[in-house]
Amino acid sequence: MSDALGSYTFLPWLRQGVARTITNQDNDAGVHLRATTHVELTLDGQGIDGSALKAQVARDVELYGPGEVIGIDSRAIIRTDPHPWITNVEPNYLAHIEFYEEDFPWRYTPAAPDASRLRLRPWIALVVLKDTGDSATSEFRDAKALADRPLPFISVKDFAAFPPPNELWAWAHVHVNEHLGGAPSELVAVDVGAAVGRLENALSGNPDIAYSRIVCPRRLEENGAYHAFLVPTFERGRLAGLGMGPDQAPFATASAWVDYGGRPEPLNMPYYHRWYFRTGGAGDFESLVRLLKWKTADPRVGRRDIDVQYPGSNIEGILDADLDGVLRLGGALRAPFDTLTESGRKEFEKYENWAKSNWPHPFQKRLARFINLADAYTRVPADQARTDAGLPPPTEPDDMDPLITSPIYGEWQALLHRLLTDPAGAPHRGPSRGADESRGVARIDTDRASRASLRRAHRHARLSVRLLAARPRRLAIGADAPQRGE
Amino acid sequence: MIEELSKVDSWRALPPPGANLLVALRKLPEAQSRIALHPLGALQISQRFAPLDAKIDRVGAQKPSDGKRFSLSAASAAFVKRRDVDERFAPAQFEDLSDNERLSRKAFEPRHGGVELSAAGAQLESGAAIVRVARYDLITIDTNARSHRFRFAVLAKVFFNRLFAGAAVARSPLSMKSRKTRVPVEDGVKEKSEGFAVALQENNRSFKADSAYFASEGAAREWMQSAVAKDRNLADRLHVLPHFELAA
Repeated sequence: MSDALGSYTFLPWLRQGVARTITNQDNDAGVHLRATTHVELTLDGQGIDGSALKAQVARDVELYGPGEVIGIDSRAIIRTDPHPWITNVEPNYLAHIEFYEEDFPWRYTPAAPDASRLRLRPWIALVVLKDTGDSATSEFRDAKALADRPLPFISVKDFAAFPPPNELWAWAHVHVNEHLGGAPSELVAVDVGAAVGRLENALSGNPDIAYSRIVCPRRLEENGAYHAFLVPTFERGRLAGLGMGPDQAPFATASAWVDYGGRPEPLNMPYYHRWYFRTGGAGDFESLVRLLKWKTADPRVGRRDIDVQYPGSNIEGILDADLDGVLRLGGALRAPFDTLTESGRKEFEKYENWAKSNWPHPFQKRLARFINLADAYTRVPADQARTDAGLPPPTEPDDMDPLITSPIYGEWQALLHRLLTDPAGAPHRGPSRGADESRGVARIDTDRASRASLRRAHRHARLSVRLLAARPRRLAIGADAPQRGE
Repeated sequence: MIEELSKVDSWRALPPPGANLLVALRKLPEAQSRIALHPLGALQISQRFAPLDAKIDRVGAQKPSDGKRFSLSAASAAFVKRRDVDERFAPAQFEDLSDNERLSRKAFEPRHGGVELSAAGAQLESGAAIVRVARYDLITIDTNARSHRFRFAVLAKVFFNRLFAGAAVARSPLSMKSRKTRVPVEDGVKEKSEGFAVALQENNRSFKADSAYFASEGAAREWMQSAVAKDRNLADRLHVLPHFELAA
């Protein structure tokens, strides 16, 4: 396994800046308001007599916590899964939300990680609540927004659907799209300090490689309607969101959905962000892929018979006896040649090479004459062009209008204005060419040009046949063109 | 000085530099808000009583009784001094100046008044890391209807990273990708305050590399005086210049 493989690195939590200096433990009932950090300064001085003076200045500095946050900028959220208003979500997936800032879910947590340094409770949690459309059975109802409430809030029936507060640490992580281990084989026992250093380097190069994610641990039911809410984890956050003084909370890290004596508005829960989705039946992408069964493709797959007896536009169709009046239009996907039977292959070859042995096929010549009319009209009068092309005269003797012709597909890219033209009379070659003293050179040029021209013409004639054949009725037809069946 | 530094007014919590907090914060009562620090922010401790890192000849009309020079540094291991904080001090209040100097010097000069602290060490911290190579199940069904499962097909990193170009994180308005789309250039105009330098009188070139820039005239003069104190011969050779007059 080399280093150049796409890898992910996951971190259980990430802290940045002064938040790293917090020493208070989670669930420490002694910390009432906010996490504090101790700052000490040394004042060094030079005395009048040159002696050294020294003094200490110290203070505890409080850090902003969840009780100070009353809203989250929606730009902080880069993705929610499921997307809002998706109504057929696979129920075996867990709902989650992602934030652009890598340390965002732990930024305001007023506690230090636990002794193992693996667990740190995020200050926000994702909960998913069921909405049955009936207020008696739904797990919540929307509460009326009041002017003095900083956040919208819901009234929850009971908190049984909320994740256990002491397990919340497990449902948030940092996701890095890089291998942060030292060696390529270093997968689990990664040196954390070094990995975080590498993360810092990687982020300074491209801040988009890492983000944080909060997952809702709720197992979703099939065909249910759900609302997902990003709610505060801590009681101080809940009280601040409801517009009440957060200092009423029993302690800084008290959970937002654990009851205590005198808890104000015990069932109301503010939210920073919400979205709605519905689950569908079982069957995610993986399960659908596993249902795929092997099957030999039918030889008819990807080929369609088209009737070429009456292409319209005054052109006689293909009336070869062995083709039965049809050609086969190939699609992008078709049954592989190797899977065909011997007779199937012969059949395929017959239709694939219908014009190979007698190229140009009389139909191709007729088609070319028709298509070349567009160019001929620019050079000679309409009735003469028609006569030159061997087309029948109009039914009305005084009708001098030209026929409506088809354009050549790719005419200007190929710089080809006529198809299957006799090289001697080709319009792009002047009549004087080849008549002067450099006859030999001119003939070689003419031969080469005519071969290239023929190849191009062949290609375009085939294209035009397909166009004509695929859309016979939509083609513009001249006034004097006999209709099918006449 | 200690009394001044211990005052609540001397402590200020600064929001993170240039960063959008991405949250709305509750308005705190004034007393709390002065020292409630944002987890990403820095702490600024400064006073306007007397300049730090400068020789104090006098304080107003009085001679100082205990010290003539003070400096401030972080004592807690968790914090480190990020930069000095400048306050505006009147040089005539702290230096013995002649009447001539009093008239020619500016009334107020920026001098160090305190320090700005931020968390020490690496800026990020975590508890563990687990790496997973992104591997995919690859199932091939051959023409004999046998299914072959190749577990753990892997993607080359270049291709893997290419797939992230359109990921949700890259499409976020905060992402580097969308920022670069809006502001494709990296250069810009940088402002710098006027400074002073200690230069040789004969050619106006900076005397030493560390004398090329001082934020205030007072600091430059002090540096010059200490240089002269070490070498008397320099007394007539050095002078203080505004930084822009320095010869290249």
